[in-house]
Amino acid sequence: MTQHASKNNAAGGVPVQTPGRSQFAVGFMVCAAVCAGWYVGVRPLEQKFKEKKAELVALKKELQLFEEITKSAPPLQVVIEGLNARGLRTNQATALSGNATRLYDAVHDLAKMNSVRLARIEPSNGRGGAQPTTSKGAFKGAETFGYNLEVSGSFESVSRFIDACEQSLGVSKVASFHLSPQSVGSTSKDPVITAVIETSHLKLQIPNVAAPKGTAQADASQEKGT
Amino acid sequence: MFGHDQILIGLSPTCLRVATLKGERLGKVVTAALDPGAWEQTWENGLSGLDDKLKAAIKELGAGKNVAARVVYYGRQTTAEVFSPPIRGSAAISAAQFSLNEALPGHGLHWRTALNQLASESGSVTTPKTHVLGLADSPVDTEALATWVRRCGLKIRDFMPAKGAALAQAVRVASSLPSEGTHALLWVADHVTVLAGWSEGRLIFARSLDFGFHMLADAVMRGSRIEDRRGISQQLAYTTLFQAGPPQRGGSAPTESGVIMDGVLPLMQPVIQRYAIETRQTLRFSVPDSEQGKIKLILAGPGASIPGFSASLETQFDNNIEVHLEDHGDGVSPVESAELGGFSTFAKVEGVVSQSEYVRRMNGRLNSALRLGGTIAAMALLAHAGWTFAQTAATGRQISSLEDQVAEMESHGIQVARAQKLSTDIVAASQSIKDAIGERPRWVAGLALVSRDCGNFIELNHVAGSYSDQGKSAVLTLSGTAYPGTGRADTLTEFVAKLGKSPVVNNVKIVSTHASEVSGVEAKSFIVSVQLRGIDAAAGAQDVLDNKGSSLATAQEPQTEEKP
Repeated sequence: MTQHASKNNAAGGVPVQTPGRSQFAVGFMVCAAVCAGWYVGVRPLEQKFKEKKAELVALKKELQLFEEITKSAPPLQVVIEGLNARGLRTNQATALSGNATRLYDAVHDLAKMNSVRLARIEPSNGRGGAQPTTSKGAFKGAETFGYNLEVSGSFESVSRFIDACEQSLGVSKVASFHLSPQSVGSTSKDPVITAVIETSHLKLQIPNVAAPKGTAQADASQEKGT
Repeated sequence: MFGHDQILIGLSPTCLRVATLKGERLGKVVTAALDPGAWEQTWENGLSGLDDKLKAAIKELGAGKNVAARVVYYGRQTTAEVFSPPIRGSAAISAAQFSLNEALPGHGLHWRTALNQLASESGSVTTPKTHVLGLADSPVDTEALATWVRRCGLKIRDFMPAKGAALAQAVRVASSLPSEGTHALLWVADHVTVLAGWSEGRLIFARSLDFGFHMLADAVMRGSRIEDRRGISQQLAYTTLFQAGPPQRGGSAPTESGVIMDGVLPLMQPVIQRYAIETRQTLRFSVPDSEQGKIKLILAGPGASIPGFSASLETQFDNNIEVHLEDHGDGVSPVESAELGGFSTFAKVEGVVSQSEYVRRMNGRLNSALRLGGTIAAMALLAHAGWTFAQTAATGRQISSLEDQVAEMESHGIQVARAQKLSTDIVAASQSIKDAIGERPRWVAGLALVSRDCGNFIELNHVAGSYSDQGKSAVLTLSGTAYPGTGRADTLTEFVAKLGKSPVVNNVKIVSTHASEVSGVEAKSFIVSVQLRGIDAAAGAQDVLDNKGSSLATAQEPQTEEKP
């Protein structure tokens, strides 16, 4: 059974109406409202969900990678302890050579220990004092400075003093020296030698290096005792 | 489909009938006689002249407001035809629609039409046909009906042309006839007559004629007025017709209503003859010649209840006429029901609706669809929003559950960065140490060697140690005097040779010699350059770092501040 509508013309004086015009407009508005509702209400939620999901995926991937790395790599604490120990050794090596006051005292001690008379000690201003190290890959903040020493003693004592300046003063180096007898032509078996020595010392301190707990406590108690 | 909230309205030129429904049966029927002479004018006036009668009938029936009404009516331009295209399904409907439109003025443009499939022949016959009832009415008349019904406070179900209802009933009765032989069914109704042919189990034709037994009733009414009699009402004429039937020549007594039927006979005879002529003509052109003599004529419909009507018709034909009477279950007499009779038969046949009603219904459907669509869209949007929110929250919870692992990873990252920084610093510091130390010799070894190898004939005046060649090689510069020895060999040469054999010495060369006399002894003043072997810078640096024996270096080691 079928019903048939007429066309959009006047029919025998009867005004012809067409159904659906207002519904089309209302439908359009409903669609627009739904779209607007989606845009305003749902789209931000979708975007947030998308972001969260991406974050979760990235996080899981990162954690998986982390797990794989931590499985295959040596324990980080061991590595850090090794590095820390090495840094500590470096700092210990440069602790003396980088401290002018202590260096001054140490040179005097060395002179005493090697039976030489320290006649003069002065910074080697002629070389410009403390110089930053500029070579490629050098530690930033590292400086070198030097002293001119004048000592006198036997050849053996002076030789040992020179060696001690290199071996016992941390990262230090004897840049040059001049030895000459105090009295030329002396027949004495052990003539007195005058030596003018130019030294070079490295000042360097690696930051954030923790001293081992035992060492720190021992040092602290030692300092208290003194 | 029909219930207590619906009523039937029958509208014919002679009567307005309003009936309640009990399921598909007629309940109470209220009738109001109409003047057939004013029929055209009534339509011209948009049926407004029937408002009071309809309202009164509704009131009498006690029907409430907004009851849906189906109008079975005789219109001025209504069309009802049975089309029998030799196809089936929706194509048959389309073919019938095309045929109907072709038959209508202006090819049916703007006409209100309805198509109903009445019957479909089985596929076993050759070229099975589909019998489609096509209904149509003009837009003006359908709109007039719609306005009239609404004016009287009713809702519109549909408008059923009475011709269509009669055709539907006639086809149904014809289809129930035996499949052997040829039958012609004469369905006689108030204002319409239907002729249907049934041959060998197939409907061969069905056509409607625009006249009915109202002409017989009219004859009775007019006959009652002869010889200056007062005459009877139209309603009484119908009652008299259905009580007395067509009179027999010279043998009819006056009826209960006082009508002398002998006087009616001349008025009725042309009507009966018209029935006979129309029937004969239809059969002649619609039934094959071979079947003409075998046609079995059957009288049916409300007119079949008129006593003696079949007998009157038989006089016009050679054959007997069989009367088919059936109880439709209407519960009312054929006179009362008229065009509403046999409602159960055409209850499911869809009538036409006016353009305004069609638009109203379509708008209603569209509005419903729009509301449904809008609601579904809103709910879908809300559901999607809810789902997204829930998923976001679940993802957030998953991220939160990983916080401990993330913190551990971050802590690890910080430690790695710290280790990297420390490593970089250590590498740089090592480089600085290597740069500071360089390839230095053990000066004491060189000096000891010089002291040992001097012997008694070499006297040193000055020893200088320094680095040459941009600090890469350590050089001892010896200045002194070589005295002649006891042997023949040159003491300076021996001295240089001894020095050169030492593993700490890389190279020895005499820079200059100068013969001189010292204290009466001929001697050589000389300058010798001794290049000492240096210790590799990396090894030297490592030595420095490993030099834990140095009491000076470790005794007063300052504490570095421990930073996290």
